Amino acid sequence: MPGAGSNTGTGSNTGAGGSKGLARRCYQRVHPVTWLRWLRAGALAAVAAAVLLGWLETAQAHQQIGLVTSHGIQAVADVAAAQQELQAANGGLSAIFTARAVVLTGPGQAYTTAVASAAQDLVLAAGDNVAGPVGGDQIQFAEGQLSTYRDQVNQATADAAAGDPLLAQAELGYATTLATALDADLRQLALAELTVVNASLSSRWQDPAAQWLLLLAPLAILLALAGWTSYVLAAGFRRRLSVPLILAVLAALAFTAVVATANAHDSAHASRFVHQIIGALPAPPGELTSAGPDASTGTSALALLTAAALATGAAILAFASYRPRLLEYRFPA
Amino acid sequence: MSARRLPAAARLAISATLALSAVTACAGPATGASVTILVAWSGTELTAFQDTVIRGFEAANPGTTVQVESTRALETELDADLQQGDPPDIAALPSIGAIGQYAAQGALQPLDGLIDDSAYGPPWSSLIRPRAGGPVYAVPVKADVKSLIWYNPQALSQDAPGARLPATLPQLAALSRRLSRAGHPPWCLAVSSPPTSGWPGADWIADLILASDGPAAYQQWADGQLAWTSPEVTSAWQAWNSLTGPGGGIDHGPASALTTTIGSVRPADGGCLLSHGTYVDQGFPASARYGTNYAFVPFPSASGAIQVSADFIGMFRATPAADSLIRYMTSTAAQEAWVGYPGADGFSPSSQVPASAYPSAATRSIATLLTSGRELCFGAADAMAPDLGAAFDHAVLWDLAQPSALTTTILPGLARVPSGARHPAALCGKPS
Repeated sequence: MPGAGSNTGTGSNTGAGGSKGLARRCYQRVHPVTWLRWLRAGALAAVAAAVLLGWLETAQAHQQIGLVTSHGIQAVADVAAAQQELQAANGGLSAIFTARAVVLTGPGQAYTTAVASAAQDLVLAAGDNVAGPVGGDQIQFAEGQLSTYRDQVNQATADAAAGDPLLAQAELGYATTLATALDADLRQLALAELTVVNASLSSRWQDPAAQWLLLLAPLAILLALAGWTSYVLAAGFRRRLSVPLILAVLAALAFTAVVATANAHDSAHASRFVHQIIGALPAPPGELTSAGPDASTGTSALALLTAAALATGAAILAFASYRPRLLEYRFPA
Repeated sequence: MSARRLPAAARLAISATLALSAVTACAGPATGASVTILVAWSGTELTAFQDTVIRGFEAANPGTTVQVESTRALETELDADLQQGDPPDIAALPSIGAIGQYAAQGALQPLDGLIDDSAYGPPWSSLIRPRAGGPVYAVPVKADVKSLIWYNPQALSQDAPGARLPATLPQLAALSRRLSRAGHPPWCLAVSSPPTSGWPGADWIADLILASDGPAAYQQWADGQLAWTSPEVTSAWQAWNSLTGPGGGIDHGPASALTTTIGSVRPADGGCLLSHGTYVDQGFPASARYGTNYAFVPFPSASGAIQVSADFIGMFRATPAADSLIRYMTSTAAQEAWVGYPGADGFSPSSQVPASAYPSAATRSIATLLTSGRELCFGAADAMAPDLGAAFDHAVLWDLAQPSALTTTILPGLARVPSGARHPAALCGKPS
């Protein structure tokens, strides 16, 4: 067994530099085989850390994406739909009163359908609410105001049916005032939901630079461990860095690239989806502050499967790369 | 640990806990505490409240923050919050009918011990208890006088030279007729205030009942013992119709009154010469001068009684911070700062706030009415059960549109509305 146990290998002991001296002193403190065991554990831990951080990053990013695409943006769209229905209801109502048909038709089918849809939209918004208790309170308040509006319309209709057009017209004016105020309330509500959507899409978990930085940390550790491994192998075993360890580092790098790219892609995809919905609204409550649409396409599930395979490969290769030297020590020739 | 030592340790722990609780209670809200208050005020009224009461409280209680939520539909929002189990700590309610309902539901916390009830004479002292002799559930923090006739002195002297300001109901009717005959419909009237349109007329009719039949009949009517179809109530409505109805009492006619927003017509602007109601509801512009462009006389009443209103605060969540805010809001210093704020246009129900605390000649004159020994009667519409109050408001609209239906349909219709559970307090009383 060349050099093992003597700790006096000549691989780097001729260097006169301070850093080399420091490395040598450090190397000499522990038996080379102990170094290898530690380095193997460290390499496996670095791969595990990369996997854990990749999982955490993916879970957080996708939790926010799920919140935004399944609920937040739906809540904004629900409220916008309620606004539109309310305007349609009041328009239909005005048409019936203008035509003086209210005695025969009541408030009219257009009003009845639209106001029922507005109520339904608010129920859906309550289910999709992401603005917390503040949003919940605002939705309940809007539901109360919609009910007050309906009561006012019913009163106007009853007055018209009772043969009092002057009072009915005044009541119609009151209903329109209530509808205008409710429209402003709904706009505030949509803005509250959109603020949460913006906050989610702008969080660090959706930021590609932050995603890369987080995953590069364990990769940097793995690289450092591979460097120290090469020193130990050269100094203690007169060997060069093993190919499996180089492949393990490359597999970890590929894992990092796949996870970060997939997450960045999904974030951009969610952002594009949200932009499309907001763009389709007749009167958007505000602007999206998240990044614009991204042209890339693909499926993140496939990417994650690839990432899982790469992480497993990196772990196996890292483990295998230390095995021959450790076996040499265990079973001396 | 022996059996004898355990109770001693427990006693020590309990004593320590009680002492800590007492210290905490006496020391006021903990640093970092927050209190929410729901109000229906807006504009300058809200600014005045925030700049005086809230800033003063936060300065006196560093680290405690107050979140003021303003809404135009206070009871709707409060009901929604209560249904969700998330009410504000405090709410300012104008209706003692609503206060009675919330107290009966167990939603309101008693305020006994928090306020100095000696500062509130009649009728406030009875209004703060939904059950006679029961706990205090609300305390008035902002009052107003409804029984005021506003006029434009300059225009009146031009349009009706030599006219005397009315001291009796017949004189008021005569002045109205004289101005109408001169081709100048005298009354500014606007009743649009969705979803409670009509209430200015309801206040006016209540004033007519109070002025012509006195506080006893007024109380009976509010209690449901004097029917809507009774001669007293009918004649008050008819008197209102003779002032405002066909024949030209209202500037631009009833259709205009029905669709004009409250506070957007006033005697100071030229056009109409007279109006009825509180100071704040007239919305006089800052450029108008009291005594020249506008002035008031109390609503002419044989008994001298005047109708008042108030915003009462009730506590929905008892916390040290809410306790402290209520104590602060009802303190004489906070009340003086509040009413002294230019544009606040409110009045203190506390007998300890002097007229000199008010910022203008108009507000000082109105404040004097509250302490002049006149009998004060709380607004009957604000004391009625919510359904009946709403029906009263709507009846006003109906009567404006179709006065001929008054005795045939409107009043019999009102008589059929269940009067519901009413606040049992005496609505009228002379401040001591």
